[in-house]
Amino acid sequence: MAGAESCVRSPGWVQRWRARPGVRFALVVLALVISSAVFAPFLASSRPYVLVAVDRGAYETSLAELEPLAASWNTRLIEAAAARQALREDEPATIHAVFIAQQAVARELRALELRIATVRRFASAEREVQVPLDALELRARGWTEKVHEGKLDDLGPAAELARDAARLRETHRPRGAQGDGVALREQRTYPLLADLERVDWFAAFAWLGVLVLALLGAPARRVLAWLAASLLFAWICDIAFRAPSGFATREVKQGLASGALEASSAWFPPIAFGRDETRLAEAARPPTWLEASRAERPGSAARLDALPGEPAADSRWRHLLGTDSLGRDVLARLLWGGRTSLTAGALAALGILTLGTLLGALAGYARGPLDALVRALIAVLQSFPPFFLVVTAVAIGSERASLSRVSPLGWVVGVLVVVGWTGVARLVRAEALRVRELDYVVAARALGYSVPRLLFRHVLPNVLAPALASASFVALSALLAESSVSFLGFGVQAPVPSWGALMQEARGLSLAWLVVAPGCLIFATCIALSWLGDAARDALDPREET
Amino acid sequence: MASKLGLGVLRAAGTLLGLVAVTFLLLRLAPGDPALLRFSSSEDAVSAAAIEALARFRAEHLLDRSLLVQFAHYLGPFDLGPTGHAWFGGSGAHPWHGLLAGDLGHEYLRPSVSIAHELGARLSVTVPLALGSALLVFAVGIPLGIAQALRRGGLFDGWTRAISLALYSAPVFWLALLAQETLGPAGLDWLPILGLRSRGAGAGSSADIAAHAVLPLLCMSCGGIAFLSRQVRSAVLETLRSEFVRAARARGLPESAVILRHVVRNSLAPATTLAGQVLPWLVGGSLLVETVFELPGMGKYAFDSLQRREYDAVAACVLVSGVLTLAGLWFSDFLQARFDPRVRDGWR
Repeated sequence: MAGAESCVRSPGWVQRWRARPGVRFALVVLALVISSAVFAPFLASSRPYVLVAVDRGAYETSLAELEPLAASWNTRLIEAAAARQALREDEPATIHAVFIAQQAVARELRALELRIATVRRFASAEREVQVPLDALELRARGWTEKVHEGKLDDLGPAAELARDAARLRETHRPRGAQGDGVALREQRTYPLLADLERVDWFAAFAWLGVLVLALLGAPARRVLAWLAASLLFAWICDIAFRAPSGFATREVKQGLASGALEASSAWFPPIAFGRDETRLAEAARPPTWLEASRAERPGSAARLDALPGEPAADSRWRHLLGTDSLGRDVLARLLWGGRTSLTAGALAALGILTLGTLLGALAGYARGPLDALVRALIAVLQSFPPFFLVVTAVAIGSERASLSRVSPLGWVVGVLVVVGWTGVARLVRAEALRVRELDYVVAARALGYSVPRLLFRHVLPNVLAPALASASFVALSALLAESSVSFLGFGVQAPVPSWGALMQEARGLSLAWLVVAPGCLIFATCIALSWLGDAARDALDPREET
Repeated sequence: MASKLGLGVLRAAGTLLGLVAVTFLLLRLAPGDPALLRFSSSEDAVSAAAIEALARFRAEHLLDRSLLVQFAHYLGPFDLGPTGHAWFGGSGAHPWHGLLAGDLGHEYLRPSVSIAHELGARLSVTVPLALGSALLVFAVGIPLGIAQALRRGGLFDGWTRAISLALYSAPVFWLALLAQETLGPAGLDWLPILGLRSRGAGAGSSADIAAHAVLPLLCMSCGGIAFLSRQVRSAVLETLRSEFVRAARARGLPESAVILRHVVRNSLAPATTLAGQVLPWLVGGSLLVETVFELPGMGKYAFDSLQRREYDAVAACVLVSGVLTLAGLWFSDFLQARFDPRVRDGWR
């Protein structure tokens, strides 16, 4: 009978938890904070979503490089021939030299082909423009094949290629003011989207879907199905928006400013500053809507040039949260920093809950030496101030971690999990000690079920409630610990931002706006989390009614 | 009773040993070995003499022996090195070494500084700070929790709970930085924000030190106050529902007697348990607070040592913080045993 009660308890308390006052609001706050972090790459970037432009710089450079490349390829060929004549045919040294030469020639030819492709991409589609390019490319490709087959002697007059390339440079000059030369055509690219990682796409799709499904009140199975689908979407997007080769999308704003890029349209994101985009002329500027930001530098508007796509230098909207000591936009870094901090908090909470629940349930169910071991571990770990242990382990170990190519964030999460699992384990162990004596577990044991089956089907589902109820407190303390560690300067390393690291930059400079904004975000997240945790604790304990 | 006490002592000794082991393993997390760290300045001019010195250093500090031997050496009280105790094949020049001999070693970069000595000076800042904020936490947290529970659902309860929830969720260092900005010279200029004493006239007087201690104390305490008042509030609410309170009221006892003698006394048991939990919080928080306020305490020492890679000093700090925590836990156990007859007489 007691078992039956225990079984129906778990959906019940989740319902009660959802119905408590303020829980919905806290969930909305949390959703907003997470959304800002998930969509940070879409909101704050120095690259436009869509760019319709001619990469004049790339076109001219490629055109200019055609001849030297062709010529250098020729000299490589001569070197190889010389090496072959100097040594005997079948000596290992000869074979090696020929191999090296072959590789070098293939590389030069590949570079040549890339330059031709760039020129061809931007040159107008007219027949008399494209045909010489086609001819050159065909010849280069033919030679590449021959080189791969090892027929180095059989290549014919290579100097011809250089002559053709030199002629191209004359005939294919971009059209200037006089109206001569070749007309260039624009290409449509997606620099921002092309630069996203597959993880970014996945996070965005998955989070969007979870939000929508949560609003609709969908069952967990549908949420999982959506997560799988977003993996597919991420893969498709990753392929679809990849930048065409030969288009320098790295520094779009600088290109537009210098004239290397000629754009007919560029659609920039709302915050047109990159995560690590430094601008020393604008270092330590207060939020631009403050009078202080204006009054302080009356002449600065003239000196400071806004790049294309950015708000004007004296605009109120330029840096809503000011800039840091290197002139980076704080709002952009704040959005990006949320990715670090929230990821650390969420992953650490997940790890702590998993490890704590498993160890606690095992110890409580199995008793005996295993229990003694777990209890001893808990006793030892809990006799350190957890934060002290975390800071020192992160600081000491992160060097070794970086040597073995563990990411700093991963190391922080690992330390948080190893230090922090004890609280959850204690809760779950106490619950497991109670549950193992309940009738239905005793009955299942009497039926001779295997230990894993007993553990995973009968014990674990019924000891999960306290662990789940403490989940948001666990996430809260993990988030706070990560921020504190980063604040001390030991967590993730610059230029990767995190909320705590942003505040560290403000230390000793008294840049108040760098302290206030990240702190407020941590604060809002933590308040929402502890509100949710409080509500969960109350919901679990039916006697407690407010 | 004697066997119970013996068991307790044994368990405590085991926990302490585990504490030392964790600290030792933490030290071994550092990449490379301390010898290279010590001699890293001579790396570009690798001479035979430097290699010789490196090897000698390694042998002296047992870095070429197994981890277990190193641990025994670290723990003490015998020096297992070549000049160590005669029992372990040493020459007997320096027979004692390690924690049990009370020797925490010397800093690498400043070999004249004894870590134990330095730590003692630092603790004279940290311990008063931690004890002071513990006092503050209890003096404010317990009455606050009781008052909230007695006026439950009212305006006072609502507001103070909201504030304590906010304090519980705010990062300590953020509060400290905000306090520095608003109350320090950059803002209202009410209180000094850096160091333990000011320069110039009146420096070092007790009023001066007290003024310097106000902000650190407040910053360290507010999280604890929020935590403790929440726990006390729910404990008092729990007690208010119990049968014996109803019985006391039914007997016609005055309300003040019911509250003071029955409710509060019974609700303080969890508070004494929490006394042990608040201490690690405070010691951990000292790392942040002392760093922000530039107080020369143990937390700041740990921070500086981490930055200078003085890992022996770091380990000493971690160890001492652990011992302090354990002392707090034992003290709360003692309090509970002293004041709760159920625990004292073995009912619980």
